Amino acid sequence: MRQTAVTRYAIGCAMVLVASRASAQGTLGAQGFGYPPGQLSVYSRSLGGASAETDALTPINPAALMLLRRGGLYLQSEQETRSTDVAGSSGSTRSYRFPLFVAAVPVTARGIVALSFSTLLDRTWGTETRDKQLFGSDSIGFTERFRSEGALNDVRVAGAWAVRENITVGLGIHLFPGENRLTIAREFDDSLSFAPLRDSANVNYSGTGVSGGVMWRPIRTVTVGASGRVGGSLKLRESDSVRTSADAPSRYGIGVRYDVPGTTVAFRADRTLWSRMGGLGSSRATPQDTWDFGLGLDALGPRLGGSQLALRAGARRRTLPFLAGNESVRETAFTFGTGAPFGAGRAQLDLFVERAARSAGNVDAKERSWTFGLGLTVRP
Amino acid sequence: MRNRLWAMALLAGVVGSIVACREDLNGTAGCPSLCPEQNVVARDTLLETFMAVDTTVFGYPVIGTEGRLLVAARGDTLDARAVMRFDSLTQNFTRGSGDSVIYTVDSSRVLMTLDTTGTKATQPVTVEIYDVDTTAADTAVTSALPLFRPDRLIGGKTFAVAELKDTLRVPLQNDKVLAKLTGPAPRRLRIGFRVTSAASAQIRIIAREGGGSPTIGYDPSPDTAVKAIVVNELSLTPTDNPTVKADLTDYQLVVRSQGPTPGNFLGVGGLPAQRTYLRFNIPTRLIDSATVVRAQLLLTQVPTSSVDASDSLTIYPQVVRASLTLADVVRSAGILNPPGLEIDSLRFRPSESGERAIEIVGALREWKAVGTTTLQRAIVLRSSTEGASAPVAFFYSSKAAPAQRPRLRITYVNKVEFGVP
Repeated sequence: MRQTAVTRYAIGCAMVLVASRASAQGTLGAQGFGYPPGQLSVYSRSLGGASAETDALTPINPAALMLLRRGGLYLQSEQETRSTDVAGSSGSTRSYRFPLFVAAVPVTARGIVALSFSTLLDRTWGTETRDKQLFGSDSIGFTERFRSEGALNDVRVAGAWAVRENITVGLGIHLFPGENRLTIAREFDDSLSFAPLRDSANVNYSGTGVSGGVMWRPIRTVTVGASGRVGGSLKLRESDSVRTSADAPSRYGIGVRYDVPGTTVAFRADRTLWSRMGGLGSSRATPQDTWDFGLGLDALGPRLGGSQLALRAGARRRTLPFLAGNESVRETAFTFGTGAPFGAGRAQLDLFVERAARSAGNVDAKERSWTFGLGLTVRP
Repeated sequence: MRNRLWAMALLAGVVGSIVACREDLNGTAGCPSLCPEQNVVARDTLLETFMAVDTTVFGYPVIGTEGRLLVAARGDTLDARAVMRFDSLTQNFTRGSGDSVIYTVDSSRVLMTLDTTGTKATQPVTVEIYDVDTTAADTAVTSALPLFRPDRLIGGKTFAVAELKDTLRVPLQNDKVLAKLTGPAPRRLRIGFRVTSAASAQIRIIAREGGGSPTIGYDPSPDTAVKAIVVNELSLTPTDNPTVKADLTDYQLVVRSQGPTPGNFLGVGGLPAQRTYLRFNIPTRLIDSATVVRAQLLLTQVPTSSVDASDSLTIYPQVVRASLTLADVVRSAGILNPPGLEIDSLRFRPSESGERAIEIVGALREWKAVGTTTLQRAIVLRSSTEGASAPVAFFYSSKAAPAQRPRLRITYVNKVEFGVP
């Protein structure tokens, strides 16, 4: 019998480098810090985002809040089924999110304030991959499950004021809180000889920004909205310590809406300066500035039990902020939507279905998605 | 009609949105092209001085707790015998509506089940049964061995090799059984088993602890309408210790063996059975701070020419569940998790030499979960047929030359950085 303490290591320090998918989104849309749903209400999404600058429920242009004169509550949910084809193999995912909530209260006959929560970047994805790891001369197969949940959000407190009957202005203060919860689990095929590798990480965000906007109706049939947001600092924390910091993304955009009785046509152009987030992540997650264009139509549809249905359609073309294989990801989406008031006009239900396609230059990958959204507005 | 269709479509949309609140995020197609790689670095560390205690332990299985009873005559190398107690014999039989005292017996026999994997015979084998009842301490070889003499022979039979099947029926001498039934108290049978053969031979009986149920049977009456009496094993002594009393229902006697393990070696198996107790002193940062994905205990096997050394020997590495406060190594080596729970078994021939790797990552995971303040961080190596088979394997201990000492290879992964994209 012998009793000794550990006195030294004889270490053959073999570094086994294993290809894992630590930033592994496995999709074109959710690279880097995530996928930007666009902060659009169901109504604006139905029109391809074209009405965002003149939509009270879309937290883009604070001046548009005046359209929600009576105030109200709004909640939106979305489900996206996404299929990705990469070099001959394909897979699909399904995610569910609540990307937008708005509560608005009128303060005077000419003013309104609102609080909104919206998703700026949704970093929810998961991958399941098979691979092998070398242990000396042994090659052991494993299944790795990588999962990320959470988002960087935009919390806006905004107010709008009707300067004149045809001009309103608005101002918003933004906070950008967020959290990403990531887990990795590597299960080896030989579970008696090899223990699973499990780890988790929590990343938290905090940032600020201000926004302003104007909405002008030069003639009865035309409404123009324009807005901008300036991002303040944006910090990334891990284990309660600030790990990186950058600026929150700024944006500006303009939209035009043409209304004739029973029909609305809208167009919008939007520029988001995501590159201000540069440095928040690693070099693999360098964001780029993006354009977002939308064109949409809203027309009267059939009547449903005394309620007038609306029929909406839109097209949208934009780039996404994070590269895939060093190529910009482009998204083209076509949307169809509808909506109807109920409850004696005190509530409104809106729906949309969107077909989107994403591609990234020469990257041998295509992504297609169906997104179904539902929005419920309740007014006092 | 159109309104109804619109209403149904709207309702379907709402219901579909609510019902479909189920996520399925695990995509499999995007990697690796859409999954920027991040290196998970597995470090491979070989510890040479990690053994706090390594020693050979005797005394297991505790006498009477054997699952198998080896009865062997292996020349000069091994002589093993078994004892069974039938301390309560049925002395009456029922005929018609009344009981009668037994005055004659016929067809007396012992019936037992064999573990045929332990049978070794090339020539006919004679199973001899002796009356080993004594007032002396019959669990001691010195007391029991002299009782295996001709005047105490009460039964036996010679079996061809092909007759050594699952069930073995050995006749007893009726007059000697009757004498036990009708003689002075205590009216009991304690029988000892021995095998003889022209060549080396052994059988392995499944003991009561192993699920066997040896019995004695006899016909108490010439009347064929009277059923044979079957008596199960039973021990009534010692009266002051119920556990030991039950254990000693049947037990193993090792009359002759090759002796204990040489000094610097760690022994596993053999008769009397040996266990190896290994207590680890692994750096806390490896177990508690990193994620250990593989741990191999590397032992250098010493070739042996012991009995059946060319037979495969299965070794169960088992995690010790003894408290840190228990300083007695022998007792600690008996408090174990079940085999196969954390560590897989390994199988090899004792006659071979070289390095044997035991995958003990399961033990390290348990130690990490339990912490450092309660349980010993130790494992025991024991034979799967402990106490009932002759092969014994030897390994170099930590007292051997540096190249032959036990080593521990640990592959671990430090905290993975993956939160920031």
